[in-house]
Amino acid sequence: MSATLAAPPRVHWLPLLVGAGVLLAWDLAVRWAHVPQVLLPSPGSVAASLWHAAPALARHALATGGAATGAFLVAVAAGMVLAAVMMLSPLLNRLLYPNLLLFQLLPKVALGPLFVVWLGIGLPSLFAFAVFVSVFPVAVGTLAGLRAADPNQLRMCRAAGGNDWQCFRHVRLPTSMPYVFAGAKVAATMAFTGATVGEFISANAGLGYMVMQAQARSDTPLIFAALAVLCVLGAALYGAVGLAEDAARRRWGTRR
Amino acid sequence: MKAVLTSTLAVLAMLLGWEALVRGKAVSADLLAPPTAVLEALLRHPEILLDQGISTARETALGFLLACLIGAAMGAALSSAAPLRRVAMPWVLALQIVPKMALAPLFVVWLGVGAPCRLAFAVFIAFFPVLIGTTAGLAGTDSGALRLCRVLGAGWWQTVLRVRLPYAVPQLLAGMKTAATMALLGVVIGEFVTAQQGLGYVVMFAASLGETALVLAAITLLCGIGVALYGVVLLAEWAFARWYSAPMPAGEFG
Repeated sequence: MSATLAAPPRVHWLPLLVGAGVLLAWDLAVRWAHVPQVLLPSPGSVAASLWHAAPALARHALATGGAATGAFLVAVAAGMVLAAVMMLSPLLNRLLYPNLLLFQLLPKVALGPLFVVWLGIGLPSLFAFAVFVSVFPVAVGTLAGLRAADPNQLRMCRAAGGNDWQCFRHVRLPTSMPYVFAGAKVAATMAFTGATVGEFISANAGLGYMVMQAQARSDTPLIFAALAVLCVLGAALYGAVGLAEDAARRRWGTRR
Repeated sequence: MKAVLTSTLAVLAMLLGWEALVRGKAVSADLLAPPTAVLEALLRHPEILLDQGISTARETALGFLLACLIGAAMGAALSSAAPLRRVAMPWVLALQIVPKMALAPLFVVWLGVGAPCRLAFAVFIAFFPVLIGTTAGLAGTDSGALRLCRVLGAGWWQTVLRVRLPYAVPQLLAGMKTAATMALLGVVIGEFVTAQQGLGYVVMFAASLGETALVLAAITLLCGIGVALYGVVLLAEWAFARWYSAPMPAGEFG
């Protein structure tokens, strides 16, 4: 992405105004043209559904949000450790890296049903699946970041008498931070994707489960309501990673 | 060459270790079918796998093409109109951070359980990277080259063809690589939720029967489709690089 697109999002009133306009037009169009609720519920009826189903939505949101956030944290930790190990051991790197690439080629989400075979219906299979789909962006990102260290800085560290660990800690780790966070942002979205797709396949709780139930009953306003909650949760985790990145940059940021 | 050799060896070692684990009864063959059983399943059910594979491949290819066209068109439109960009870009970015794959059931409600649903969902999932690639590529055009065009009196169309496009295409192709993976994912998830046909359906169905060998055989074919589509984009990249890096004699411009 170019610099103009990667710039930190600022709140502009124009897009918000347009968004509100779209909602209003949507509501009016549905009322005016008598679009069936099953096809496209009006924003008003989605809001009503949100309100009526609030307790159930909150319960299922807690299940999905908990699973996705937990899976995200495990995936970030595991991905960073995996990348660090591959960085420090050339042998493991040569063994693991091609396999990592192989998994990158795999449509990982398609493996969802296998996790159900392995771990049964419920939280363990869901959790493992969400970790599985979100660990790769972190591992690949961290590895790229650790390798991006300036060779001159590494030589400088060596010349100053730094050992392997010190050079890793003070040169490689700080350079890798932007890459790690880029990977973690992808992982945040993937963790929610994994958790929800896992719930589509088979589950007994969670927003994905709720969506499938609502779809079976043709309760479209509830589908919209559950998806809206899911989108807010996903965006919140993404935003949290962004905040963590800002904090990390202020705390350990490399001076230019 | 040496890198290719070690990579192949590492992957082979992984497959052998997997086979040995199952043969040695460390892992049950029902839970994780060994590579040989996967191969056997591929050969045992060729007509099912081929039929469903063709369905998935067709929908993926079509979804990818539509996603590229729509993404590039929207990217070009957003790049050419600054007010449109200011209004639409925050929403497009917001769409990117929500878990879009979760929206699949909505497409079932709108379009039923047939191919249109899966196709629309695949396009919805895959158009975004192309859009971003196009806008980033068009925005990244060297302003010096653009000024030179104006000084030399190049027309609008000439500028687009000779300067803007060459700058935009590498980014566009990078977006298309992501789109190739996403289109396949979109079709597979569509097949999960519509449960009607395709390799995603085979995966679901075989998994519910505990036939892990058939699951892995279908996933192997999915990998093949993904790699083939990715390969097509790589080929386009290679062709483009050849076309544009044609030796340009020094002193002669254009």
